[in-house]
Amino acid sequence: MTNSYIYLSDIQLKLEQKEILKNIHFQLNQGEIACLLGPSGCGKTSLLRIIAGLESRATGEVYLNKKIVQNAKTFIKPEKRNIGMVFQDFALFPHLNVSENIIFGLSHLPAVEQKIILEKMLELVKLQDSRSSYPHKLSGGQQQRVALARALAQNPTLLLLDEPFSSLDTELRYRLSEDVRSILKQLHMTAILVTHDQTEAFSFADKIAVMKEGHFEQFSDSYNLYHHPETPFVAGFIGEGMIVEGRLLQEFLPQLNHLLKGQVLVRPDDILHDDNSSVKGLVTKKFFRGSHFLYSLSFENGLQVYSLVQSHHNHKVGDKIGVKFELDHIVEFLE
Amino acid sequence: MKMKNLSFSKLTSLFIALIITIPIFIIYTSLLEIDHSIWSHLKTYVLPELTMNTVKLVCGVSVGVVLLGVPLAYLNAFYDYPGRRFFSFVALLPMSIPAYIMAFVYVALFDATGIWSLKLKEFLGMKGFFPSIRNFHGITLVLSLCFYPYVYLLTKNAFESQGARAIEVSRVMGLGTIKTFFKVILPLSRPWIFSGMLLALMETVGDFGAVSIFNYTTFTTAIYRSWFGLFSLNSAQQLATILVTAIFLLMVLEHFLDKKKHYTSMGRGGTIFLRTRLTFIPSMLAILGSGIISTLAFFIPFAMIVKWAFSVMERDLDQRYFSFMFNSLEIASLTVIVLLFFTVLMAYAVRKNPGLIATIIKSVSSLGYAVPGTVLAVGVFIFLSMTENFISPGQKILTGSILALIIGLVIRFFSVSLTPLTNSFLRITDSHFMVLELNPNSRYKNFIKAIIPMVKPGVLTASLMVFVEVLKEMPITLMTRPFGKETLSIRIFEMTSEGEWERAALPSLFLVLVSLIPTIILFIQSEKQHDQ
Repeated sequence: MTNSYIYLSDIQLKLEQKEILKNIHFQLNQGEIACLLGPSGCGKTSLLRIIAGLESRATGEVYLNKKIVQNAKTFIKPEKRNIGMVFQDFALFPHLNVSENIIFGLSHLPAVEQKIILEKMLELVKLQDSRSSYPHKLSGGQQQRVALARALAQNPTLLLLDEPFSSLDTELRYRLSEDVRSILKQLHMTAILVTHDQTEAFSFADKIAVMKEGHFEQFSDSYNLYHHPETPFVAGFIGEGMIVEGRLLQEFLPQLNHLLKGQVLVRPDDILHDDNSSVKGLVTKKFFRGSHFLYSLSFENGLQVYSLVQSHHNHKVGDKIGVKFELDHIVEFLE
Repeated sequence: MKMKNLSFSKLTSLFIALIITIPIFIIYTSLLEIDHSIWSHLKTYVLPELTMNTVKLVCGVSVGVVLLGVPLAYLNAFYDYPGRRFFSFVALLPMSIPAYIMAFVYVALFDATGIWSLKLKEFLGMKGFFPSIRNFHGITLVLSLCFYPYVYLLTKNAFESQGARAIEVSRVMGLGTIKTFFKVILPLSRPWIFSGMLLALMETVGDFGAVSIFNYTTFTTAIYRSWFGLFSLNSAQQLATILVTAIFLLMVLEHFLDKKKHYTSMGRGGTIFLRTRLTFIPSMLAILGSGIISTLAFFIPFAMIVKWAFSVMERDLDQRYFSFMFNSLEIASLTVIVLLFFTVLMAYAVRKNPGLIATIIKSVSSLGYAVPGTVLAVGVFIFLSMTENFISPGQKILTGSILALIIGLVIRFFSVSLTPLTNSFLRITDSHFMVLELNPNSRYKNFIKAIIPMVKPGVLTASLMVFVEVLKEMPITLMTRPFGKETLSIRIFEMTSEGEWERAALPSLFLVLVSLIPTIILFIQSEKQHDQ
């Protein structure tokens, strides 16, 4: 047993010979926000459905609020788990107005109590003026907030968010994800978000599980995922960079006192531009990034890396430019 | 526990599907005990004429509906002229006139001694017999006028959804209007034109009222006469077997056409659909053409019914009439209630179990509408009398009751009710279902509070369509109703059998007015679809 608020142990899901999820272990403390991040088809939504109790074919143990909801003998029905969920398509009821949608799951409470919760929720998501509007009259962002309020109204043990921002346009998406985060933090709500967008994951979550083909590649915070990736997949999936042969890199790192045998992650910000440096790289491609240029550089021994350079250093493809290799810590993957 | 629920809804719907199909497939028991004397009689004297008549009529009407429907669809889809909206609406109106009503109006007007025949004869100074409309050409014309809206509606929608992009591409590539029509628009829309034609064709094969008014013998009238004229249920059943087999073949054909529709879909971009404005002379020709068709197919029959109905109203509109009307409304309401109960369950099952189950339910339910009413009446009767013999031999507890009629009508109009319901169930997303599963309200409460309100539009459409269809229905009501249960359509059948056209007009007026409601809704929906 464990003292974690949310605890998953050895979750497996196999459907028609196909392994959807394997060997998932996961824990989360109360008030923390986690994110399941990965490409489509990695099993992140299936895991969310298992936690909610919507997928009964999985094996393993699930504890919510330190109480068992699923193991070999037990399976608590979804409606008994007290879980709030927000969906990509919001799933508002078109025949109910904003207020009616929000209190939809509260009919077991006395009317006075429903009213108090409703007012609190409307204030929280700043929709007091639209309380009587029907969903089709609302903007995408407003609909999203109604969906959030409806999920929070029943004061859930855990809030699950399934790609909740991906049907909104980019600008609104980031603004709203910050708003939602601050609402959740204000309520000390425990939440799990599913997304394929790492910027969203970074800005929203305290902890991120990077998923690939049904298992966790790494479960950590964003800083560690970026700077200390544990697998080549995480290194490639998070941020920009190139994984290069260590032996090619060796000659540019004279101060390094051990032999690089495997593959090494080189981030574009590890390669600094310096006109005075004697180390010269050939510009093979360049991409304008506003404040910076991203140059693709190739060296005589065949090494290829990216370098992020301030955009007033405007060089042409074919130029040779001076660089310094500044890899503070080496991220090396041995075969 | 989740698996259990799933299989429960699956089992229920498969059970209902089975119940629906029994009365249809029971027809085939005729093959088990072929009465050779009856069969040889049928083969020598009846079948050749029947087959010839039916095939001829089907071919004639198929050509007729395409000739009327496609040009009208082309005109109203691609061109703009003064009164286009009005004419694209009146082109649909024949849908609200049951074929048997259109038929008796034309017979009344153009029979050898018809009202307008006599006037024409006098006007032309003719002597001898005036040619009667009661022949192959007459019935073909009347049924084409009745059923062309199927082709018109499907083709127009196809033109409007597929046409805009196709025309742009074709025009950019340098093809002219006429070449574009024959090389691009027509081939692209062919599956829809064929489906419309097939619908018209099935209606023709199944038609009972109109052909009996024209004394044109087809399978449906032969089935009726074998049973109620010669009192041989057995020969009726054998004829029904042949007819239902032909219908099944047509359904297989329909199925393949339906598949083809998916291939021919051309991306729907944000293309704005613009109609070409016709100049003065073409506009006049368009108005003239549309005007003639709608006058023949709607305004003449409608005006005649109104005129005749008012002429007999004082004499005929008495106590009995209210009982006809009451019976009609009673049967229609009962059918709606029973059907809604089953079809809401089925639509829910279809939504929750897409794939094989959904396909089975949908195709089974469409059987009832495809099979002619006369065949269904025979099937239901045989099914119920077998059940009767099993429960309590010698007592007619089922076959003479209103149950037989309701079963027949429920099977007949199952898909009419199911289709709008399944469509409205599509509005409920998977996420909606998950929201319901996650919240603590009871299943029953969720169904009442969330699911039913979300499918309400579908429930209303289904009820209305079924209600009107039942009011208009003739052969099943005629053949399976309890003794003495007269409805409006039965009254029309009886009056037309006696050639009392004017007296048939009074109940007809009521039916046409009621039928106008779904036609108007259909028009509004099709316009909306286009606006989006």
